[in-house]
Amino acid sequence: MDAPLRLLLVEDDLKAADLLVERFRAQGLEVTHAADGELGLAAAQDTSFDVMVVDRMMPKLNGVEMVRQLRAQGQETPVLFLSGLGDVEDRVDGFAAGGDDYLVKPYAFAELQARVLALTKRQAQTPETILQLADLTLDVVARRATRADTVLELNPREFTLLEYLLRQKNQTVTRTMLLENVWNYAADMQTNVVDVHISRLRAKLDKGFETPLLHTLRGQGFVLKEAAS
Amino acid sequence: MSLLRATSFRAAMAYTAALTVAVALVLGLLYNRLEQRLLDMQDAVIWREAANLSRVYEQEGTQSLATLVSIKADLNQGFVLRLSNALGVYLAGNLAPFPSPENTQAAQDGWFYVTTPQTQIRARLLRLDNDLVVLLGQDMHDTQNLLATMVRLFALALLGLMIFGLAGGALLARRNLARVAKLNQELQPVSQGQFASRVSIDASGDEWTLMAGHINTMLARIESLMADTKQVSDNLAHDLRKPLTRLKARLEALLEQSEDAARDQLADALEDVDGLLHSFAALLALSRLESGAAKLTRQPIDGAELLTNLHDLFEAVFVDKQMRLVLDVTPVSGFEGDEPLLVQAVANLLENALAHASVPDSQVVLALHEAEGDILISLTDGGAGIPADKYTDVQKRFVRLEESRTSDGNGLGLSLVAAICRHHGGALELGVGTLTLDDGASGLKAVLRLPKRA
Repeated sequence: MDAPLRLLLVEDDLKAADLLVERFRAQGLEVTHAADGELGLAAAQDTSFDVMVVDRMMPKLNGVEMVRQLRAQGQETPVLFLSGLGDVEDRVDGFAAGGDDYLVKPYAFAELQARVLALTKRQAQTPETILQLADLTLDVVARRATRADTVLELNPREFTLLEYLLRQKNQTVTRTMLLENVWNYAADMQTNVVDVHISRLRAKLDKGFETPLLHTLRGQGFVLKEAAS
Repeated sequence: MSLLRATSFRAAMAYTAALTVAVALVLGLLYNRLEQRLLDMQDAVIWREAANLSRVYEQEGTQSLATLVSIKADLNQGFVLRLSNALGVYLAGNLAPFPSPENTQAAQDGWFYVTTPQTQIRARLLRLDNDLVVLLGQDMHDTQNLLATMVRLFALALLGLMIFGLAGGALLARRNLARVAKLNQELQPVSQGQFASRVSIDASGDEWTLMAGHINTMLARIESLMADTKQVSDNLAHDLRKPLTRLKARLEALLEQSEDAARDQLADALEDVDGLLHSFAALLALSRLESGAAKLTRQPIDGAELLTNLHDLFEAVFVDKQMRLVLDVTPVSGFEGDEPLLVQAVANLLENALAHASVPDSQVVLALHEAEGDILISLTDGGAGIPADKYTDVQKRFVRLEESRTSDGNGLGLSLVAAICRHHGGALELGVGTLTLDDGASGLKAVLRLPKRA
């Protein structure tokens, strides 16, 4: 087992921070919390973290300014901004300051978790081209999906969907995450447009096989995993 | 704007026309009186001459009369005289042949006009004893000349009046037009959401200044109201999003730990929170768009790609409901705008069609084309449509038609679509669909009309 990931959470909403700390710890991360930008800056200069989650709007030193100062000092730790502001300009601001990702409140925890993990992975390794889960194998380069030696007939969109789910295997994936990453939409869509695509994929992926891999988690999203939910 | 279409110029034209008619009437009356007066004076001279001739005849007899007539005739004072006997035979005077009837025209009170090749004569007959008759008249030449000069002068006066009136009107209109043009120019940014701009006020203190002052007061009021709205939205964003986000996080955490019995309830609660957050996000987006707080980011858009991608995402959902989503895309040029917002708008329309026009075997057409310099994105469904008198209502916030109250939705979808259109300087147009259905209904056609790049 690798050493636990070290995460610095800079968030002035203490109640929200408590919840996040608790949940990240439950996922096996080592979490440090700083209650404002100045404390966050100090903590980040003091200790080395794998990833930082920073609220944009904070008293004393705001998140964007804090990260700008860290970057100016040569700190390369990946940063995810949390914000109540979702405008394009605000996002651009965040990225310009040296942020690596941007999540608008309200978000699903699963989404934050997935993004945080993605940020640490981005640093660590080049993406794999052969993805596997149980008897499912996906060759990203050959664009071939097989399950127990049976080739799955997937259209390009279904292939991308499966690839994304497989890269996030054993993690909850929300509808918003799928819309953003598979369809490149940041728009807020209420009908469960994604569900239809999931059920079509499920029909090709799980039908005729003993163990279902693609599960729906009510109220949360979907997960690709071996064990039953 | 053309001068002829300016209100002030039209008013000046109408006023000038009325004034010209009035002055023409007065001048006409004046001419009439003048003519009468001139004739009266002329007639008085003739009467005096007639009295003279009568007296000479009575006192000195026919021979003296004839001599006097000859002398008077030769004096060339404009008199026309002809002395004749009972048979009409010429005795003396400067009008030898008696005028033929066709050259004679009777006038009032025994006066008549005689037309000769040279001139016109106003004359009357003076009957003396022994059946002697004197035709006594005067050349009209001078009088007529005078009257003609009068007419020319009057016409000149009228012409001057018209030119003066129209030129004055044009000058006034141009001045007004310039003011209006300036005002329009200064108000242009306001219509694009810049409520901080003001119109300029000069020192003249005229009615325009007064109006400009009122407009500025109004703008200041709008600006402060908008600022209030934005403040409320921002506060909402800040104060409500935090607890809602926490609520969502708590429910998620609970859902992961909970037993089977509680799971469904928690999942329902989580879905409700999501619905709430969704409405809330839509409301916030609406406020930001309508308060003018959000600036339009214009980027070139591949309309065909935008619709094809949405078709790709939604087609399966339509198929799931036994409906067909058909693309009808014509290549367009000069399409610019905020792509995420437009995706949101079209997605809202598609969701509306799914929610309110879900008729099995029906066809929904998503189309793109350009017309009259606008980009048109339309969605025509095969549902029951919306009554025409409700087109405006359904674009208002939280308005839902009676028929759809039972279904999910927050009544913000079309408001947001309309706001996104306005944000792009366009409009949402609702109408009757072109697909005629079996039951006579023809569905709803929603059109996003977006102006092309200027």
